[in-house]
Amino acid sequence: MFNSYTESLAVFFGINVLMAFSVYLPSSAGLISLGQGGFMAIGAYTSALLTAKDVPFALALAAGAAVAALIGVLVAAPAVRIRGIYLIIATLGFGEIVRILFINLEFAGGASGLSGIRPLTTLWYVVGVCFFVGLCLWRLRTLTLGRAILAVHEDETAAEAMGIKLLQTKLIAFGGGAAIAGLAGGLFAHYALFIDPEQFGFSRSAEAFLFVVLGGSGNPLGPVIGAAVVTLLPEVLRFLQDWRMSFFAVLLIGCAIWRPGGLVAARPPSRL
Amino acid sequence: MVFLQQLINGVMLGSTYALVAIGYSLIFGVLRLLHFAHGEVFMVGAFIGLGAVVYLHVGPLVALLCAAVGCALLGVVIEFVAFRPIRRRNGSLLAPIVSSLGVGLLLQEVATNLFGAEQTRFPPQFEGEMIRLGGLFVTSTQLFILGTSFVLMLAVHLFVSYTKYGMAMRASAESTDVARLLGINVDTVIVLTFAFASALGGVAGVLVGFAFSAISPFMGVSMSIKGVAIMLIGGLGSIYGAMVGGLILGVVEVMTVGYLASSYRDAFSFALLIIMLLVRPQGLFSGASAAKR
Amino acid sequence: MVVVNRNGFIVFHNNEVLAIDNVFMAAVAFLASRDTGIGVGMRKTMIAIGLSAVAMATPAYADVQIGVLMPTSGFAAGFGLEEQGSIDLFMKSYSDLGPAGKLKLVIYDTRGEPAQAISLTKKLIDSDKVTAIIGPYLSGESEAAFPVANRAATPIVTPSSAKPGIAAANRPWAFRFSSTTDKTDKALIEHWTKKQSKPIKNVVLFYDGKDAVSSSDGKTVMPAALKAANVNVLDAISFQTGDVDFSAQVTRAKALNPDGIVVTALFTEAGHLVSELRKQGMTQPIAAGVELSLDHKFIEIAGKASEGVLTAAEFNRDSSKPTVVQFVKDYEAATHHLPGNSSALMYDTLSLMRHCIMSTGVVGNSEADKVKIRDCWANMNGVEAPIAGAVTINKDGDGVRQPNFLVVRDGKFVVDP
Repeated sequence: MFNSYTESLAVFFGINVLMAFSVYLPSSAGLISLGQGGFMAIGAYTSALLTAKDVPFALALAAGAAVAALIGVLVAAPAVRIRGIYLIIATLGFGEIVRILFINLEFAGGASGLSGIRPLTTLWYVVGVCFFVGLCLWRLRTLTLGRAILAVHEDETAAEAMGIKLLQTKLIAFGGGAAIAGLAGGLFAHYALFIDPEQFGFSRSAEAFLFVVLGGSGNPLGPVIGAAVVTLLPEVLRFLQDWRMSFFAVLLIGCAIWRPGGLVAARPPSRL
Repeated sequence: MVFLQQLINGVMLGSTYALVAIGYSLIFGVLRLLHFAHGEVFMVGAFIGLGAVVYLHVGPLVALLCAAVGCALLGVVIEFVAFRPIRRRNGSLLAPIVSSLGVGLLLQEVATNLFGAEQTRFPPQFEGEMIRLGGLFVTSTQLFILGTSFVLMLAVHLFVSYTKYGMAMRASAESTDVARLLGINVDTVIVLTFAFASALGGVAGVLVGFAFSAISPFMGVSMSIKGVAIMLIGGLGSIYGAMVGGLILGVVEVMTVGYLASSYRDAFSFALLIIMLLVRPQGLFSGASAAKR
Repeated sequence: MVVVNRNGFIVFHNNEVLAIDNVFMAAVAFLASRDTGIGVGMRKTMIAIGLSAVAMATPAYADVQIGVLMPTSGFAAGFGLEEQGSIDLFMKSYSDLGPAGKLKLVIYDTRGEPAQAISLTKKLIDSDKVTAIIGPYLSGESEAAFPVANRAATPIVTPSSAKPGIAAANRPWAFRFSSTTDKTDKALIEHWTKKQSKPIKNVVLFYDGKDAVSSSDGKTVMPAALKAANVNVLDAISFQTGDVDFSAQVTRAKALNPDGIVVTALFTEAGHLVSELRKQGMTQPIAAGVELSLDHKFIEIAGKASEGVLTAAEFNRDSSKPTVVQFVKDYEAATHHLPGNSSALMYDTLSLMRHCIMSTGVVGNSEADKVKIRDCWANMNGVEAPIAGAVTINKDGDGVRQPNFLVVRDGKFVVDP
């Protein structure tokens, strides 16, 4: 077997892939989020507080995802009326509010964070969850719901005219994304063993957003590639030492200019 | 009396926010772009001002001028390198956001490499004299900041209301297509907007440097996010909204700290943001120059 | 990726490219492992790569390898650079271990991030096969890294993390050289209240609500210390790491008219706060709790306002103790900067680690050597460190020392007897 260091990199990479999926699902319905860090925090804290009370890990993870999904739906219900850049701003605000909420929750450790979380996340758990979510997303594209989501993305008015329930479809997509972020948070908490609100702030949300925009949001493979590039590129660039993040930033700008649709070009599911 | 003092504290803080937010709003108004690197332009402004003071031994006004000119140039470069190519290729709504995040990271990293990660400060004489007004107190630097901010806000108002380019800017904010039909060179207007907005951001950077004697490559990060909140409170793309929104945010922050706890400070601004989005997405000021969709 | 620097010890510039290959190999191996035959082949390749990485890091004879985790980039880079200066200085004179060969340091940059601290701790233990680890720097990082080292049965010693309880939660392998804030705070408050001409009955407590150490200090440790000294806390006012505007907090405190002011914060925020306190005309005596506020940068930031501020600290740059004078002189000659608190903590920790290697006969990087180093730290009692003096480690794994009380006079910290 490979050693525990490479294992830890693989675990963090897997968690990033989940975060990418969590942006991808709502984005395929045209709902772009810059606040997924907030849902990740909800999943992380919920599951960590539950396993501390000896709730089985799988159950705690599911509970974290469920709470994140619930809050996702509650947030999205009024917010899906607004579109495009306005929704991005609303989700950004939501992410910040969640972070601030946890800073003020003393039973969850407040700003000092929550430590002593039990080490329950294994590589196989992460890989399993990634594959499960990935397969679900892949399969979804050929299901009625997936096609409805795509139709909403393409043209809301036309989709509604075809009898697609607009609000319901959007809520499922957004709530699903929140649930995946919650899962990622639960896995992260039980691997890092220490969480604090700062770890789930704007930079976490922006990172997840970059995974999808860089990788491409046409199919679930794009976000995976995006997560791989954003996670591993700064590591590969270490030989540049102090200038590696600057170089990475230049690459970001370059990608935005020359690959605005993402590294993996969109391929409509009908051709599969 | 304490309340009054806190109100003064809030207005002082808010006036610097307003300057940053005006730039944010100008760019959003014309381009519908969340310019996440604007906070970093603000940071660069502070460093230019510091450089001018330390190496050229200039006074505060010249330092402001240096920062304004330097940042205007930087803004134009950013527009040409990071945003114009995307527009040329008809990029998506998201590509410019990636690009602005990239520019922000780049400026932050370059500044860290050049100046180090630690806070630096203006020489102590820039802190100014204490002035007492009854039980209240302000420093001469604070008055200078307040004065500069309001003069600049007035200048912005006059510029967009009465000059040819200002009116072209407002027309472009209303609709770039219509503006083009009216014979306005929208590309020129965009370059001008970037220059103008960045200059204001740079000046705000120096003023914050004077006020709090804390300059670091990371000082723009929270400003970028706060700028979004302010813009929304005041009305997306509305420069008057940005002015009032900035002042409101400053006062709300100070009052939260003064009467509640600092950990809730940002909660109010973002709660306000979300409420505004849901209840009144056009913001407090939805005049002719406000964004409509 | 592997750089042998001028002092002849190995510096890895963090997760080098090899490691990345390993991740890809890991992913491939995972995918292939469904088909067992290919999976085994892949694993062999991976082990071969892993071995070549170790071979590059390990010379022919058994030197003693110690891992170092510190932030040399990101927001906490300043602390890491102070530590780096001490490492360079120390290794120039003390890398020779006699019969055990040479002391080799494997240094990684954590960027101050807990997640990085976890990965790099694993990397040090599994890939680099270090005998012990020095670091990480921040309490949040230590909180993440300690359980990893503890489970892998490798000694880990943070020079600096000061939040109470984090070494105690990771017995028996985790230690800290620094003493915890609960001990220094109590002594500081006793000393402070005793020294004032006007009795201190009511204070306002300022604390950083975001920084892990300062917030635990401000919420629990300091209130307990004040209560023990019969001092009433009128109000506990928080701010957040990175804040620069303290006007609202100070205006609020001023209205309460306290007899004294207590601050627990990192040096930057403490500097700005003290500056604002004096600016708004509050002249009350100030005691600054968290040891990190005792950095000379505190004086640089607060300027004249820092005069008279009392604090507790382990390192006094202006001390006349010969070993300290020598250290400050050598450090400045080597780095062209003056050493800070972090430099002193790292230098002492390195000295004690070398002491443990030499005195217990550690010869390589085996399990037995790890146990020897662990026992040496666990039983440390009155061992002389060059800067801090006699060091004892208590049953929680925390350093115990009599702190110095320092007060700012004419822009310098001087000992307050």
